[in-house]
Amino acid sequence: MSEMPEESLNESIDQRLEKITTKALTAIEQANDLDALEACRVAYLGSKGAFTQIMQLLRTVPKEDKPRIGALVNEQKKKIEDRLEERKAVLYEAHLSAKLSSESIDVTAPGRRVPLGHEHPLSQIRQEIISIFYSMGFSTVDGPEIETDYYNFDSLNTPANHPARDEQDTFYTNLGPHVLLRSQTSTVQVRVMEKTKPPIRVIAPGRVYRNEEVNARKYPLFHQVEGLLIDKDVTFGQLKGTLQAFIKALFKKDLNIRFRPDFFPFTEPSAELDSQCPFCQGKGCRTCGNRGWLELLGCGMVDPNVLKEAGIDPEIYSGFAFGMGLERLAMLKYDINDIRHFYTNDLRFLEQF
Amino acid sequence: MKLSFDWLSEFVDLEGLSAAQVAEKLTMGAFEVEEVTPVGAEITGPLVLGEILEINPHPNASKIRLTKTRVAPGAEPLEIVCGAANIEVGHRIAVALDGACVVNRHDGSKLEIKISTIRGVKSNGMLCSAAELGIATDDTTGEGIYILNDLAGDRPLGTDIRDILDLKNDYILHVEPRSNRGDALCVAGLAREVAALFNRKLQTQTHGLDEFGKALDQNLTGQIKAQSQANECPYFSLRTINGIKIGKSPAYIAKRLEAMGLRTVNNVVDITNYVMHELGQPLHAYDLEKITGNTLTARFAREGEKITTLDGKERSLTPEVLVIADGDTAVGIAGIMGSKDSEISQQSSSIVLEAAAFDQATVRKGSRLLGLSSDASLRFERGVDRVQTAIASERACYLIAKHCTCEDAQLAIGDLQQAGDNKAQSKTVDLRLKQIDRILGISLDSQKIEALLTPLGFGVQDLGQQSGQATLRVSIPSFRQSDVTREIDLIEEICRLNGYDKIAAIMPSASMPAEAADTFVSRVKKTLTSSGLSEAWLSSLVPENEPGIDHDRVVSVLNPLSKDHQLLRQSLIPGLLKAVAYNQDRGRKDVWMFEAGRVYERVPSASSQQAASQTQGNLKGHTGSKERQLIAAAVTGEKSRALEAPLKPDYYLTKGLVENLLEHNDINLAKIAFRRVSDLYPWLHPHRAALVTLNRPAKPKKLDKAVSQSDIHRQDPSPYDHLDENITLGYVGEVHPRYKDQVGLRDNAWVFELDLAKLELERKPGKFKEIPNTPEVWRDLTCDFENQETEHQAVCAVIIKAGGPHLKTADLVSVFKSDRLSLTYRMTFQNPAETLTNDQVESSIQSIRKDLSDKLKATFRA
Repeated sequence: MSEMPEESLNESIDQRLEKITTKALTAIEQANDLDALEACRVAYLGSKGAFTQIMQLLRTVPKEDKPRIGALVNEQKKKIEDRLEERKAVLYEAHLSAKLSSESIDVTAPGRRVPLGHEHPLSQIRQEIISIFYSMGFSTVDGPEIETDYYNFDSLNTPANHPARDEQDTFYTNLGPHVLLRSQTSTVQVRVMEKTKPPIRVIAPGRVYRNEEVNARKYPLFHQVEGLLIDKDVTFGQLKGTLQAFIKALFKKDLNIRFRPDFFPFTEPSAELDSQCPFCQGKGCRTCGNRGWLELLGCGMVDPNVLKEAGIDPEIYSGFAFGMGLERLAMLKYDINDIRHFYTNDLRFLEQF
Repeated sequence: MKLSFDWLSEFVDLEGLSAAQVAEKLTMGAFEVEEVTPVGAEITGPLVLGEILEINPHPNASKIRLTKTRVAPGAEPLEIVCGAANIEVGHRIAVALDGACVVNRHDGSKLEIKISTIRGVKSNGMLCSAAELGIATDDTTGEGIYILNDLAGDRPLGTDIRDILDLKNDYILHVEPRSNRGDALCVAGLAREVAALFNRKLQTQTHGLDEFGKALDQNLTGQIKAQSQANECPYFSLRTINGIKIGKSPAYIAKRLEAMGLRTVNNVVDITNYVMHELGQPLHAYDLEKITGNTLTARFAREGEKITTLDGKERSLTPEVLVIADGDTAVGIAGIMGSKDSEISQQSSSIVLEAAAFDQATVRKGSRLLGLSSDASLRFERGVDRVQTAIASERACYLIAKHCTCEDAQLAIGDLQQAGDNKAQSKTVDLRLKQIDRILGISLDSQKIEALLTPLGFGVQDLGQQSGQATLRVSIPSFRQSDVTREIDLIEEICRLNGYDKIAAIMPSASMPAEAADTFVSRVKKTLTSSGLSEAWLSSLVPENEPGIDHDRVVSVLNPLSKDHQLLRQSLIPGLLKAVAYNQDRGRKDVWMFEAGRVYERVPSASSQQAASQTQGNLKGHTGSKERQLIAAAVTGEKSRALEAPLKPDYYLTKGLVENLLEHNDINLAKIAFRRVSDLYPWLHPHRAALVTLNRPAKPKKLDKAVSQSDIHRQDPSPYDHLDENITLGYVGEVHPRYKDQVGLRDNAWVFELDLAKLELERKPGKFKEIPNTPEVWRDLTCDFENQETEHQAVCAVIIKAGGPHLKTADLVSVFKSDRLSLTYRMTFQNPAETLTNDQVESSIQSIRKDLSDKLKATFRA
């Protein structure tokens, strides 16, 4: 492809250099793309190129002319190289802009997504509750769902023949008359206190069972989160403070709440934490049964009998406990009207969370 | 219980208070009022007593009739159309005249009465049913006209019905009963609470049996004597009453009982119920003539002793049940229900009235054993004040003397026959003032405490300093002695009376660092959701016919409400596949789901004994069962992706989910082996399923004599019993086509199930390794096998073993099946210390080829 210089002995080296340079510059100017430009470079400046061949003739130049001719060669070569660079920059830009416009796409077409699944809403709220209490220094512990009546009732100041046992329709099992499916996560209270010395700060999320007919509000199994704090000088005021902070963190706003006296065998004093019904702002509606208030959770100061049962001296230590229903909180938080949604596992439900 | 506001006002001054205010205060004072419903408020306008003079057929309709009804003495009778079937000439009834408002019996709304024309005949008003007057009665349909001949007596026609039926406006407060407050299950008890909460005066009732002095006859012949043979009946009293006329109750009693949701029976029974709701003391009346002998005795039942209770059911008794018996047989179950045989009837003229104290636990136990409860047992279980038994008996006698007499016979009330005593016991509890601050975080002085406790009947005495602490001695009134026995009980009383809102909310002081928990399960869930699976929460209670259940190890529920919730599950897969079918039935094709949940199993008795002996002294926590947390998934159906080929599940995609799950949670896949398995579960395809195991040989079972009997029993309590449970983490596979059909799956599905606790044991969070500077070298190697069953895992293991220290990875890149099985592996080699030479790599390849051909009969193409 290289263009050989015309052999003309009549011409001086100076003239031939001038001539090749002029031809090279013209060729550069005529190159219309980067490939043609590269061919051009090879034809003149490549190892077998025209310009390179001319330089072979330098050997024949008389000694006294060499410095002058040498300088002239360099000058002409630089001229070609500079033009090559300039032309290359221009052609590169042109090339790029042609390529880019050919690559135009519909940027509004749908994204290609890696399909993602959804965590169950109960999982999500459970994790949220764990995190909130973690930030308040509560560790998470676990307990068995198949339990003895000792941990479900007796150790919680609820002896046999206590009417409070009737209020929780308990499932009994084929494992013996004392073995049942726990009806509350409070079972974990004495289990933890037996193993750990105060100070104790734990929550215990878990599944519980009650022998109830299935309807929009009830399912034979559901989930609770139990909380227990035992230390010196723990007061009812601290119970109120802790739970207020929790509710605010969970619902991300200041709900209007109240602590209402209630009775649980294993706490004294006991309270129900009510929130003003968010659906009717306390005016009374179907969700709150016209009460204007919704029960969020039960709580109270740990009964001295429970502390004694677990080998903790109630004269030195005191504590509070609380228990909340995961479903109830999730229904309130996500505005879910039927507890059965949680166990039907309809993807049209799950994928909303 | 239901509390009538009007009745309450007889016991406490409610001047200026609304029912809503009282309800709010009770709620915040530990007696939650769930609802307040108005009663009688809807009845307005002219409503008078009338009498039916004539009943004629309606000329134009067969189901309704035309009455002539007189509504004022001597007045011209009015024509009124009536559809009820129960009316007769001579009936005295309530007539709603033009302009009156009554209750629409169909929906409880307001019904305005106008003179109107009904099928061509003018009707001048309406004859009312009880429901239309806002009174609940036995007549649940509300269709019968309320006949008032008994209640109205000889009151003149035209008398305002509200006067006769005592239809004053009232409110019913629905008060949630408290399991420890038997004393507050009555009007008087709640009145005491209301008086204390509002600081109002409690009005004591005068029952004045002495008003009936002439009726009292200590020497009445044939009086039944009281006897108690059981400590569980510490007080037993009887009164014999002769000359009674059984009839309807007076309107005020009937109305109040109806408002409480009770059926009216007859005047005597209604009075016993009335007094129970008023004072909290259950009473029972027996028909004297049906009692054999002259003594009623409280004793425990004999084994197999029978009684037919008032509800008509015959019950077989056991010696745990306390009964009341006459000379021959049990005539009542103490504190629960009387017998049918000794029931008061219309003909009864003499009765025996029982007022007794029964042990709380005994009544509850009897009630549970017999599956029988009543308003009486509800109260005895929660504790009844024995001091007021005699007062209640006297109150009932007063009402009987007032309302159950007749002209034919002389009413005579016998002496109070008693066994045991009902004297008040003096009980005190000492209260240290500092404890209030320690538990509640609020300090109160002794004056304040006295002011709070006194209205509820507590006595407060300042003991000054006792052992260096300011102490009060609080005397407990008889009716609170069952629930207030300790200092903490007093602190609770003070807390609620003072108001929970008075305690300032503060945060607990010193905080401790918490242990982060649950992170492993959460991470596993995240891995799966990021692979496109959604999380299900399934019921752990499963039907009795659940597939794949190992019945020797199953934990079952003895008292299930439904057959769907009878066993505790042993696998998450059947539930997941049901959820998959549920979604498919609703038109969903891609159902990719997982659950992290527990499975349960009974531990065989030999090892259960061993477990028990290991935890000697802690049998209280021994259940003989085991719970494991599993992670399981089911995938079916292509996941469509915009502008891209859909993601199609198959065995390898599912296995890939498992591999991702393991690797993303710090479990090195080199430690894992997949082993072909069949017949593990009915839902697994026999040729497309694998156990996920640890890549180490199962421990040989020791057979020497050192092995004890119990060790043998303890072996692998898992479904994978043909493999060592210690190395089995779970399984992965395709769903068996038969199972697929049985559960109604519409498409092939794949599942896996892994033991989370075992996975967690294998976690080993990685440490940083220096990034090598030397280049990686890769080589492809295709090996051919005549044995088509040759498994990748075996080939790969040989390659890794033979490849030497610098073989980094060996990935299967293609599988080709013809007459031979061809597997192509891409291997990468790298030596972090120096650049590998071609000779070094070639020598590794040579030893790989040699081992593959020696061990697996592999051949290689040139």
